[in-house]
Amino acid sequence: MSGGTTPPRVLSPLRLFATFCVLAPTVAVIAVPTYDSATPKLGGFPFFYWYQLLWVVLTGVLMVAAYFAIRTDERHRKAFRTASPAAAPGGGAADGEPGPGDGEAGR
Amino acid sequence: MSALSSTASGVHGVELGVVITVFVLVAALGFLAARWRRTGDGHDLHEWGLGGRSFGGFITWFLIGGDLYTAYTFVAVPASLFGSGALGFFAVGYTILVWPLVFIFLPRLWSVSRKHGYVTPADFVKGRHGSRGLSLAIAVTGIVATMPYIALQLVGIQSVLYVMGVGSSSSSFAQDLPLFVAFLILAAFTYTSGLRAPAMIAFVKDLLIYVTILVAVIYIPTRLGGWTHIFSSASKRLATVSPTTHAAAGSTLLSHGNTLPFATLAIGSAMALFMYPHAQVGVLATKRRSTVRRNVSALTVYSLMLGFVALLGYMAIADGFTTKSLGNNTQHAVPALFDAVFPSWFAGIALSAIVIGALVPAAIMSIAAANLFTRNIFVDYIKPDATPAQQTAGSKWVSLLVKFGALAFVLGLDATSAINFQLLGGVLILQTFPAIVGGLYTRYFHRWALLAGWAAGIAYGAVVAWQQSSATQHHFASQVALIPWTHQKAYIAVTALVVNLVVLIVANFILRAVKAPAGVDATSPADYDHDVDDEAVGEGDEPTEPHEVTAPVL
Repeated sequence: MSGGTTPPRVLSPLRLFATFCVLAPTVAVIAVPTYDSATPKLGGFPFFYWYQLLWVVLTGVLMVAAYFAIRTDERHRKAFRTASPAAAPGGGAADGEPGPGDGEAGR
Repeated sequence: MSALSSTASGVHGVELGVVITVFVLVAALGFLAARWRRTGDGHDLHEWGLGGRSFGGFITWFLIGGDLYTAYTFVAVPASLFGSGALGFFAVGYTILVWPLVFIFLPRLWSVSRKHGYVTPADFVKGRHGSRGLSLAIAVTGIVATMPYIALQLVGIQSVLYVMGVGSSSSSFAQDLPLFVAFLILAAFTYTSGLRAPAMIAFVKDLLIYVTILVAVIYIPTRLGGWTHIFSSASKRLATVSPTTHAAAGSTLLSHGNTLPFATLAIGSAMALFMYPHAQVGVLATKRRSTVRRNVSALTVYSLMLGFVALLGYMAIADGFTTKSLGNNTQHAVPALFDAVFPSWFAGIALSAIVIGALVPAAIMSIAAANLFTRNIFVDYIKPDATPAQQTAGSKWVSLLVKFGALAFVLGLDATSAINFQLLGGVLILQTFPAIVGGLYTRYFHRWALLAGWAAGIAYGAVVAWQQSSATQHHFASQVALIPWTHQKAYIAVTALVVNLVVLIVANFILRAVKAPAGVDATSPADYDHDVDDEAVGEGDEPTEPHEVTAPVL
C-alpha cells in the first residue's frame, strides 16, 4: 500500500461497494442449505432452481455496478494524482514519485 | 412416447444434410479468418496464438463464451441432471462464482502478461517466481488437463453423430470416419488461422446455440405439458430404486450429505476454470485491461443459458427417455431429445449447434496447449534460441499433435473413460491455483514450497480419484470422495487443494527459515496495474489511439 497520500483513502466507499458487489453472489451460492428447498415455487420451478437462476441475473447486475464503481473510483484517484502537486505545493512531497499507477496492492 | 422412435436406426437424412451444410460454411469461415484483422507479423506467436492481442469487448465476449460453452456443458451437464438430479445443477452455481473471481484477479494477470509479453500462465510463473521447474510443472499440468477436455469435445460430436444414425459409440474405424473428417478440417483451419478461426466461428456458434436454447426452452415445455410436469416426472423417475444398485438414482433436491459436494463442486470448478490455459487465452487476447472486467456482466448471459441447458436433462426424462433407450449412454440425452421433439430441419440446426459448439473450444484448447509446449518446454528446455517464427511454426505443429492425441484418446477408449479423465483434469489443474493466483498478489510463497504443494495436491488428487469405484466402473467413478477422517464427501479437487495449501505453508515456513534462494522476480508491483495507455511513451510498438480512462486495479 502506498501510505503517503491522505485523500482518497485506500478503502474508499466506492471500493467497499465494489467489494460488496463481488462478495454477494459468492456468499449467496455457497450458502447451499438456505435454498435447498422445493417451495416456494415459481412458474412450476422448485425454489432450488429459480433461486439460482435469479442469482445469475443478479450477478450480472452487480458486476455492472462493480465495474462502474471501480472506474469512477480510479478516475478520482487519477484526478487527485495529477492535480495535487500543483494544487498543494506545500504538501506535495508525499506523492512526489512519478509514473502511472503507483502500485497500490489493491486487494 | 416419441422416445421409442428415436433410437438410432437408419440415417436421419434431413438432419445430416443441415449439419453438413452448416459445417461446410463454418469451415470456410475458419480458413478465411486467417486474413481477418491482421495487424502484425504472421510469424509471431502473439499473432497466431493470441490473435495479435487485438480483440475488443465484442469479440472477447464471444471468445470467452466459447471457453465456457463447450460440448461438455451442452452434453455432459444435462446428462448429469438426467442421471442423478440436483447435484448436477452445481454447474449453475459454478458459473455464477466464476465471474466474481474473474473480476478480481484476471485484470492483474492481463496487465503483467501484457507488460512482459507473457503468452501462457507458465510464462508468468517463470517470470514471477524465477523458477523454470515450477513453470514446467504448470505447463505440463496445463497440457495434461487440456487433452481430455479436447477429447470430450469429440465425445460431444460423437453423440450427435450417433443420434443421427452415423458413427457409433463403439470404436471401429469405419464408423468413426465422419468424426475423423470433421477433426481433420478443424485441425487444418486452426493450423492456418490460429486463434482468429475460433474467434470468428464463435459468432456463428453462439447464434446457433442461442436460437436453439430459446426455442428449446419455450417449445419443449409446452409440448411436454409445462415445467410443473417436467419437474414432477423427473422427481418420480429419479426416486425409482434401481435393481442393480438398490438405491435411488438421485433427487430433484439435494439429498442428505450432498450439500458439501454441491458447494465444493461449484467452488472448485469455478476456481479451476481460469487455470485452464484455453480460458486464459481468451483473456490475454484482449487489447485493453478494462475489456475483461467490462465483459464480465455481459458474460453472465452464458450462465443463464447454461442453467436452461442443464434443465434439458429433466426434459429428456419427461419425454420418456431412459438410460436404456439412450443406448446405455446418458451423454446422448440432449441430442436424442432434440431429435425426438423437433421437426427434422430444426433438429438439424440444434444438432449443428452442438457440433460447432464443440469445434470452437477444441480449437482454442489445442492452441493454448500448443503455446504452453512451445514457450515453456521447447524454448526453455530444448531450443532456447528459437526465433519467433520458429516458435510459431512449432506451436502450429503441436496444435495438430494435441488434436490427434485427443482423437486417439476418443477412438482408443470408450466415451465414459474420456469423461473420467476430464474429471481428473479438473483435479490436476486446480493445483496450479496457488502458484498462479497467489503469485499475482504476493511473493511470500517460496518457489520450492509452491512446487512441493503442487506435487502433494496432484499426488493426493490422482490417487483418490483413481480409487473411486462404482457398480459399473472400477476407477474414476466419482468426482466426490470422503474427506479423510470424516464421513463427509467433497469434491476431490478441493480436498486436494487443501492438501496442497497445507504442504505449501509448512514447506514455505521451513524454506524461509533456512533462507533457501528465492529466485529473481522479473516483475515489479506497478506491472500488475499496467495498461495500454502506459505504453504510449515507452516500449509500445504499435500506436495506441487516445482513449477514455480505463478501469484500474481493484
